[in-house]
Amino acid sequence: MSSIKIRSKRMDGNTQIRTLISHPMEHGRNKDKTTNKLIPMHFIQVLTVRHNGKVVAACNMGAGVSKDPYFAFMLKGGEAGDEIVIDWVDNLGNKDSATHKIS
Amino acid sequence: MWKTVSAAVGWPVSDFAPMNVDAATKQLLKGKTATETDKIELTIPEIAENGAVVPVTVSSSLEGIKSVALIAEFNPVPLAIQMFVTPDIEPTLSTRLKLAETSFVYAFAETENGWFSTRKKVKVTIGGCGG
Amino acid sequence: MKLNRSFNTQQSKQYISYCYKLFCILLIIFSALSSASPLQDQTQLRRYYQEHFPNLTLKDYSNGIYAIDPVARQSWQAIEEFPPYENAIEQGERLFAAALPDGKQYADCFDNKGMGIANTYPRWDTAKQIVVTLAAAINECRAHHHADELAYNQADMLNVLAYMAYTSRGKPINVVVPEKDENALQAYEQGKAFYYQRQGQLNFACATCHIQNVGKKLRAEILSPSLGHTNNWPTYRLKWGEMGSLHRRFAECLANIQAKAYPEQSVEFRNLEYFLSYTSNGVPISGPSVRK
Repeated sequence: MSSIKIRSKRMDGNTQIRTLISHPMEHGRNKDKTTNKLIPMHFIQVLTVRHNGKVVAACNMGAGVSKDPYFAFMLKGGEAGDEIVIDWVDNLGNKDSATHKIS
Repeated sequence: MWKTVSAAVGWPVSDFAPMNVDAATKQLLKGKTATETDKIELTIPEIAENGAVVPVTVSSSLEGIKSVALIAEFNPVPLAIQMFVTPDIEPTLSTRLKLAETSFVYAFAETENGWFSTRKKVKVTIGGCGG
Repeated sequence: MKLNRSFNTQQSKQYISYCYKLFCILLIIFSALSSASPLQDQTQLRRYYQEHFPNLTLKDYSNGIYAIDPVARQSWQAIEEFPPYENAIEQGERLFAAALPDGKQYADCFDNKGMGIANTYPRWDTAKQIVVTLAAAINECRAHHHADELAYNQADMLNVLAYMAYTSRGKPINVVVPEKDENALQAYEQGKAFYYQRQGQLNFACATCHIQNVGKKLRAEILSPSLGHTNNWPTYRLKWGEMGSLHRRFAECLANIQAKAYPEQSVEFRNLEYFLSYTSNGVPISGPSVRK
């Protein structure tokens, strides 16, 4: 199952793209309550947004972004049937990607 | 012109290293200075219910924006996120940040005419019984 | 010399309001100590909160603290744009539809195939002589169909609860204390006694914060009303960074006042949930939810 959920909404000729991602976004300073050991860093570093195959936005981020991160973007224009692809890479090299068709 | 928005390649390690806010700002601005402006809208609650999840939206009417960034004054790593944009997308970003403590949150916009910024103070509280 | 003895209208209104509030508190304390019926408890509690928050309808209470704290409400609404409990609903739907070991489904255990019934729990089980919460009912269903019980505060259980709550959204809490069963009433009364009993090092009762001092600030926190405390579960608590149960919250609150906490689904917590839910009858289900 994908870690990425995408929703789109047409707004005044633009398209709002909202995404909710399941990811721990651990900054490496939290301790595991049972073992008392530091939980290693594990956070998304890069996220890209593509519209019909073209990159329209790219984000570099750190663990200052909340757990289970949420992002909302505003695509200029956008038509029904257009494809939005969001993908991310984290510091451990994990990746995920999801595709959404604007309705 | 839009080389900065290539598909996910090198993440700037040095931008996200632990440092104080002045160093983080210097690092982000690459030595340039930012002009305070009211043309960046930073929407963030005055009081954060929980410092782990603080909803924030940054948008701007400035021309020729290349990127927007959010810096949290007292976070061990102040730079939270930098979004690079193409002309196909509005320079608007909503997300949720972690705030270590009561602090300023700075929003920066990089334009063809240099850097601009605004800031808002957010109180991060210790709840009574909520903890 | 003329003495001015007249109160102005504003002062006399405040005085009457004060007297009424005092009367309501005394009435509630009296009912706590006496054997007012559950229905009387419910009526008195509603009247008290209505006097305290005249602009709120019963429906508003389903949003808990966000009904009375406008700053917190803004943050909450921003998070509700795409709330973190959505995954729980999705997973829960999948788990709910999956077959149990003997080929049956959860739908076979519940009224209306388990859809839109979360508002009728907890229930008094006359045969077992115990309050059955929805979580307990889920495990009863599993046991009946040869499946292992789910751990109460773990993801699978919380996800199923999230889905069942989601299908019940908007439905008013409808918990019954059967008149003919003395033991049901006793369980309710035990829950009520727990609520009003001072406990722990800080010697607070639930009522101390959530009735007597409702709406006041405890450090930076505004104290929420009890009305609507049980309708928004399970919750993605920002503090937990995950979904959690009502009983987990009970335990946490007790720990905060340095009182003894009880285990998930203990008799004490079931009875407390029974009391709180009954007195919140009419408040719509709003689970699963996000809370701080």
